[in-house]
Amino acid sequence: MATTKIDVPGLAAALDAQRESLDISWRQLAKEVGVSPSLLSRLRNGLRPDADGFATLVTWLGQPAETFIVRGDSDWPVQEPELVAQLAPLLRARSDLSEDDVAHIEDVIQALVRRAKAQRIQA
Amino acid sequence: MNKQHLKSLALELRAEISVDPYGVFDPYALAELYGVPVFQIGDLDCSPAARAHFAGPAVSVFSGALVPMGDGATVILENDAHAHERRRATISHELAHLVLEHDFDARLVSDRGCRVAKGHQEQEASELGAELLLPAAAALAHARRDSSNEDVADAFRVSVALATWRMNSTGARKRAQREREKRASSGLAADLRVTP
Repeated sequence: MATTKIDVPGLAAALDAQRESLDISWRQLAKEVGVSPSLLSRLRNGLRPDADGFATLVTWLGQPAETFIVRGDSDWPVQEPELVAQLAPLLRARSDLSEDDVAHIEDVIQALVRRAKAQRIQA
Repeated sequence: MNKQHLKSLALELRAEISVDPYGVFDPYALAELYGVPVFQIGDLDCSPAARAHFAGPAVSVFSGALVPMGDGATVILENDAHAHERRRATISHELAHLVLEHDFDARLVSDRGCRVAKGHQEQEASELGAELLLPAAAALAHARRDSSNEDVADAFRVSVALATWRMNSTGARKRAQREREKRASSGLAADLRVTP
C-alpha cells in the first residue's frame, strides 16, 4: 500500500499566492494565519509542518486537506537550481575579487548545492 | 523598518528560541528553528585548493553566504576558518536578511559586508544582526554596571569590536554616563540642603 505525505511545495506555493494577493510579508502572513513565523519558514525550506500546523494552514486556505496530500512514493520535486550560473556574472563583476577567488567560490557553491540537495532528498 | 521596530523584532526572535534580552543568543538555534541548514566550507567536498584558499590567503574574502536553492528554500554557508565569535555574527547577519525577507540572488559576506545587497537592506540587516547578538537593553544594563567592552564581549560571545560598537552606537555608554552625572549632581544638591 502506497504511503501518503504532505505536498510541502504545493502548500508553500498556495500560501505564497495568498500572501502575494494580500501584499504582506511571510511574517505578517504567519500572524494572519495564527501560526509561528518559523513554521512558514520551515515549510518554505521543504520541511513538513506538524498535524496541528497543517490543519491550521489548510483551514485558513479554505481548501480540503486532501488537496495537499500526495503519494509517498512520488518524486520529491526538487527544482534544479542553476546557482553557479546565476552567481558567476555577479562574482566576475566584482573588482574586489580576484580570478582565483571567483573560481574557488564557484567550486565551494557547487559543493554546497550537491550537499544541500543530498540532505533534502534524504530528509 | 526603523530602529525601534528592529529592536522589537530582535527580542521577538530571541524569545522564539527562549532567550531573554540579557541571555546569550544562539544563531544556529534560530537557523534550525526556521529550517535553514547551515553548512561549513570545511565539511563540503569542494576541492582542497578552494578550502585552503578561504582558510588561508583569502580568509577575509569569504565569511559566509545566504544561498537560495531556487525553489524558495535557502541555506547558509559559513567560513569555519573564522573565529567562533565572528561566525556567530555572520550567521546572525544572514538570518537578519532572511527574516527581513530581503530580496536577493545570492549574498556573499566578506570583511566589508555583503557583496550583493542594497544599501538600506544592508543597514537593516547589520542593525538586526547586532541587536540579536547584543540587544540595546542589555548594552544599557552593562553600561550602568560600567562593564568593560571586553567583559561585554565575553558575556555575549561576540568580538570586542562588535561589543565596543554596540556599547557606543546604542547610546548605552552616554546614557549611563548622563545618569551617573545626574545622580552625582542631585546627591550634591541634597548634601547642600542638609548642610547647616
